[in-house]
Formats: sequence, structure tokens, C-alpha cells
Amino acid sequence: MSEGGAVETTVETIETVPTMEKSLIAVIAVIAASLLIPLTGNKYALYLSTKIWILILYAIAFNVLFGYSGLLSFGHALFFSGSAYTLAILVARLDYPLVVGFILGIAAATLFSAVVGTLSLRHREIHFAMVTLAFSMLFWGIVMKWRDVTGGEDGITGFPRGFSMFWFYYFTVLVVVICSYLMYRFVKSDIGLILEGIRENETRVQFSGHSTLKYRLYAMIVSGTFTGVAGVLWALLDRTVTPTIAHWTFSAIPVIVTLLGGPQSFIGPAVGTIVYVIIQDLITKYTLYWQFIFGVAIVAVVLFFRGGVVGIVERYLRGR
Amino acid sequence: MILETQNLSKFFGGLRAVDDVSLSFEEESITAIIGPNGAGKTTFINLCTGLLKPNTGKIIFNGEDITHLPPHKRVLMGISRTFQISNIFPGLTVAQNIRIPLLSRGDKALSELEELMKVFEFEDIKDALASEISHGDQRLLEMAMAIATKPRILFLDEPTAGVNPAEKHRILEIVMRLKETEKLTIVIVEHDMDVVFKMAERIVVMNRGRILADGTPEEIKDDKAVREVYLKGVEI
Repeated sequence: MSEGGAVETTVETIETVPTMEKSLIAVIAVIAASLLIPLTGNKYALYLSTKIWILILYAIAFNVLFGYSGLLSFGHALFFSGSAYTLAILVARLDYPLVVGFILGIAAATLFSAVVGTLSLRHREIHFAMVTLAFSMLFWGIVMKWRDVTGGEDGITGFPRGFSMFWFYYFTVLVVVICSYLMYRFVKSDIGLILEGIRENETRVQFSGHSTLKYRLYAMIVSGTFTGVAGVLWALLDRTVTPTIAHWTFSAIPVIVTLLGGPQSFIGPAVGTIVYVIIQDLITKYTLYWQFIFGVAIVAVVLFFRGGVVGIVERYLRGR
Repeated sequence: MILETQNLSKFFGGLRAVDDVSLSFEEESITAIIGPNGAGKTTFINLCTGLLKPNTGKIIFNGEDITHLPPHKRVLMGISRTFQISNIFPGLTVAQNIRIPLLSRGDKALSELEELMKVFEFEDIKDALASEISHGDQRLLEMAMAIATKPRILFLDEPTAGVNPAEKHRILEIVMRLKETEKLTIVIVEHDMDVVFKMAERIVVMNRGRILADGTPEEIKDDKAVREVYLKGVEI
């Protein structure tokens, strides 16, 4: 990768033990505090926080591929909407139980990521991004046109959530925390180390006796599967699926929040998601041009703070 | 015979970088490939290790045709290499750098990590980032990574380029020790004639993609054609 890439990585690797402990404490504190949200009785806050949790899972799953293996996918909406639509079709159209829809929805994302991975991972960088984008837009086209099954622009409604909003929030937090922990274990495993090696210097990994294609595919499947978990949660939250989540703009969300939060840190995408949703929500109240303001913020972070929000905080904590 | 090339050629556009080269290497031998810049030495290594695919010719390793195998499969068979410019994982620690090649041989191989650290004298810097250790240590780290795959033949592309004399001495000492303990076959590309004539049992001289001469150091020293194109003015 470029020189810039090598410089960025040092941010994470020299993360000292005290800051790791500090960030673990901070993460636990945020999770604990967020458990109080449903008790406030504020329905809007409850809805918004559920949404944030789901998008956090989406962003962390995306970053397993981007931050740890250096592969920028611009087609993650395919795995997100693939699982959401599978659940909706199975439950609303074919009368399967919700649990079956939930599990098969995730399985669909696994399958899609394996297929797209197999067909796209021979390409690198911008070519990989374009191939993944093409696959996801192909799926978007099918969703829009195959009205009998997908409902076209109207999407699919008419399936239960299985929980009240109150309990669905806790269910979501539980699922997101478990999935994030599993992904953390994955990136810190020996497979994760080999993926970091691929990001650093792919040729050297090949000359270390590893099929890099195989490991890139592992990363793709793990990333796609957990994106699928976020997708089924999203379907249940609104009890609706619409083509919005299949569109390429939905693939851009994890890219943006990851750059915002910091791709070199595991929780960076989560921090970016919280900042993204809150800024979006706040600015929309005052101006219709929130996207413009947001764009300026993103450009500033990417140009001047490559470690993202987490990088800025870390630097501050080290007193630099 | 551990490795053999048959009429191997590689063209870049009109340039014949490697032109009809047939060479073979005896087991546990140490061969130096020398020649002026652009002679095709590195290209030859790239072909043997799979970084490049030849236009024509064959590569036989241990009786098996490996001409079309990807690099990682050749590594698993026992062909390893270092690069002209240190090719390591700069953002990972020294220990992590060596762990990655060890993993290619399964979890059992990880027990060799300690031993490699000792052989390469990395105990004090094992948790340092590879980008922050000295240039000489980076060269040695790359060699340790190559050894971690347990090769039978090791290609070294200018292992002492750009290091100071003390580090050079240390690198050569470790190479010679490894050759004995690991029963390695070594093929080394080197510009430093001091190193070449001290280490090699056999010297192959390349020029413009072809083999100009092939013999013992004594034979090469006295070869008229070699002196003409390459050793002109060099004190041996």
C-alpha cells in the first residue's frame, strides 16, 4: 500500500496498554448508559438509538474488510438489503416464522458475500470497489423491477417485529455487542494478523506461503455475514423493507462513518456512526443543507485527521 | 539437483530480460549470480520464485514442473526468497512479521518463533515495529521471514545492499550458519565482489539476459570475457 497507509497503521499498533484499557472502560460505560435510554420513555430517542446500534454493526462489519484487509467495498448495501429482503420475502410473502426469516436472511448475506467475493477478489483497489458496486446495483435493479416478489419501489411490509420497541432495543444491543465481540476476536486472531499483513504488503504474504485470495475471501464472508445481521435488524425495526437500503448511497454510509471515526481502530466506525447520525439529526433541524455541512466535515477529517475522530481523541489523551 | 530451469525466457516488450537460460542448482550448494545492471539477475529470481511468469521455458523443482504455480505454492514446496528492497510488514512488530510465515506451516510451527528470535538476535527488538528497526535488522528480518517457511532453496537478492560493514559481516555470518543448520541451497545475487568471492562455491555471470560464464570463483576470476564486460577495474 502507499506510504500513507504505513503511517496510519502505526496509530493503531503503538496503541499502549493504558489507552486500550481506557477505551474498553469507555466502551462499557457507553453501552451501560445506552441501556437507560428506553427507560426515559422518549420514543423518538428510542427509535434513533436503535437505528444507531444497527448502523454501528453495519460499519464495524464493513471495516473488517476495509480497515483490516485494505479492501474498499462499495457494495455492502447488497449484503445489508439481501438479508433484509430475504427475511421480508420469507415472512411476509411465504409465511415462514420470523426466526426462520432471521436466520435465512443472515445466511443469504453469507452466500452473497461468498459469491461476490469469489468473483471480485481478483481485483484490487478501485477495480474491486467498482465490481462490488456493480453487483450491488444489479441487485438494486432486480429489487426495483421484480415487483411481484419485492414490491418494487414500495418495498415489502406486513411482517411482525417479534418484540415491542422497548424490548427490541435491548435485543438489538445484545446482538450488536455479541457480533462486535466475535468480529473483534476475528481481527485479533492469526487470520486477522494475516489480513493486516495483506493490507501492509500483499506480496510478502504470498511469499510467506499464504494464498491471499483465500484470506481476502474469509474477510469478505465475515464482513458480509455480519452486515447481513445488521440488515435483518433493520428490517425488523421498521417492519418494512424498501429499495433505499439496496441503493449504492446506502453502501456509502459505512464508508463515510468509518473515515469519520477512524478505520485503524476497531471502535472507530462505531464512534463515526454516532457522530454521523447525531449530526445528521441535529443539522436537519436547522438547515436543509445538512449534507453540504456534513460533506465539509468529512473532507476536513480525511484531509487533516487521517485517524478520524478516534485518532484525534487518542492524540489528545497522549497529550500531544 | 534441486532446481533446474530449461530454456527459460522472459521478454518485456522488445527487451529480452532473461534469454534462453538453462541453469541447475545442486542440493546444499551456494551459487552467486553476478553481472552488470540490467543483466537479468533479479528477473531470473522472479521467474524461479513465481513473481513473474516466463514467456517460454520450464522450471523444475525436485523433479516437479512448477512453471505455472503461484508464489505461495512454491513457498510451501520449499522455495523462499528475499527482495532487493526490504520487503517486510512495516506496521507490524518484528515478532508478528515472523509469525505470518510460520503460520503457513500450521500452528505447530509457531513453537519455532523463540528459536528464530535467538538465531537472528531479535530478542531485544521483538516488540518493536519493523519500520523502526535499523536497516541491517530489516534485512535480517526479511531473511528470518524467509527461513520461517522452512525452505530447501533460498534466493537472496542483494542481501547486503546499503548496510554498513559491521552489519554486512553479521548478515553473512548468519547466512553461512543457516546454510549448515538448515541444509539450505542458496542462490545469491550480489554486487559486492568481496562477498561473492568469499561465499560462493560457484559463480554464474549474466549479461543481457544470457549466461556469459559459469564456474568456480577461480575460473571466473581468470575468464577473459567476464573481465571484459564486468570485472574491469575490480580488484579481487
